Amino acid sequence: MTARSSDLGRFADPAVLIMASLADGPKHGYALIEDIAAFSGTRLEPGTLYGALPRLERRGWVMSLPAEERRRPYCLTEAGSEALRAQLATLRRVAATGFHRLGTA
Amino acid sequence: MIRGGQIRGAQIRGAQIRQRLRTLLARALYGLYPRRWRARYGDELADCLARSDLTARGALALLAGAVDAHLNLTELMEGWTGMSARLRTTIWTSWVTCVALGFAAAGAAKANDDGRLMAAERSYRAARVAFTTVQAAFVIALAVIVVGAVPIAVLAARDAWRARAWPMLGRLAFPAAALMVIAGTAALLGVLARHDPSLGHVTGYALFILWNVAVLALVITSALALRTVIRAAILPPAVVRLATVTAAIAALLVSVGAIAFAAWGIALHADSARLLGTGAGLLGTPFVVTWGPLALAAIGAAAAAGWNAARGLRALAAAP
Repeated sequence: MTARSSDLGRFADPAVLIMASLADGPKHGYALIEDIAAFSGTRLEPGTLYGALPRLERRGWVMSLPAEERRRPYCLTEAGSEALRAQLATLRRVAATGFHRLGTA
Repeated sequence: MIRGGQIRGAQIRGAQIRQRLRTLLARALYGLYPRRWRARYGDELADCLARSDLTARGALALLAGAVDAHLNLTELMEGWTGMSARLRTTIWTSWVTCVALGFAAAGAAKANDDGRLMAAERSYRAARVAFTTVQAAFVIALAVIVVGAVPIAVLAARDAWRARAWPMLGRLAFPAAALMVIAGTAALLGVLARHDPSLGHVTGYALFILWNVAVLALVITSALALRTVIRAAILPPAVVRLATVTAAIAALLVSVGAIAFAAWGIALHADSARLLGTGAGLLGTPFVVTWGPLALAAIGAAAAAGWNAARGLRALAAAP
């Protein structure tokens, strides 16, 4: 994989949230916003979501499915799953180090 | 009491005005996105905006998104997805053309059932080489297509099975079923033509036309089913790349086959012109009726497949 999540700039954090949301199946834009709000407490604005989605598509990490009326579902690709795993592994290390240093691990 | 009602009415009107202003602001901000961006993502964004209340933070995100879309339009719109859609079209059109030509070549091969044609091919080297080239080109082309198609079929079938998407599974099964029907009826017609001495020219023509119409209908419906599968399947870029390359190789092979097929008929004509006037084609049709239109159609279709494959390869080279 040549593309890195750091290439996504200010869309790197929304990208992880979007990929994590798509990890359990395809979702369209509004369903992504609702799901991300439910599992992370962060409510992505539509403008932010649609800044990140084209970048994820370009990297081949998410793929759009045929549109259903005005909504187009997106799904995680194999490359996207790999990228998400790498991101989550980093976050896990950061979280473990943070908790350890706080003495709450 | 009346005053309380008036206050509530004013509050409702105020809320309605604020909602109207939010909608107008959302529309104005949406309109700031580039037209090309809106053509691809506009409906989805509009759907999201219609379902959520626009906050100040949301308005700022939309404004930033519109600026970002203008600044990075090329990067956002010419990514893998756009390429992938183009490549999928290439894969579908090239494959369908090659498979259809494969059927045509199989039909033409039936002309070889005629003893005089076989004898002529044994006698004339050019005709023999040309016909062997036709057969080899189409067999290898079909094998190459299978290499590219199997991963797509497996992934599409796996996802359709997991999602219990029966129409998609039906589309995947239909071409295989159609192939069996075509092969079965071809074998049946072959047996009929060989063993029924009463099968005259008129009956032969009628069966020949009916069989071709049926094959055409099955090929078209199979092609449409495959189109849906190839366009809708969730495919990793590596699978799309492999399929595009196989489509290009198959297009090249069928081009060779189509030219060899034309050369075969010309060689036979040069070596043994009287054969072209005989009832040496499929089911007793004259050889020219079998060979001529098929040769023209094959060259035209191979050229279309080659042009499509070239477009696909260009798109592949430009893909991220």
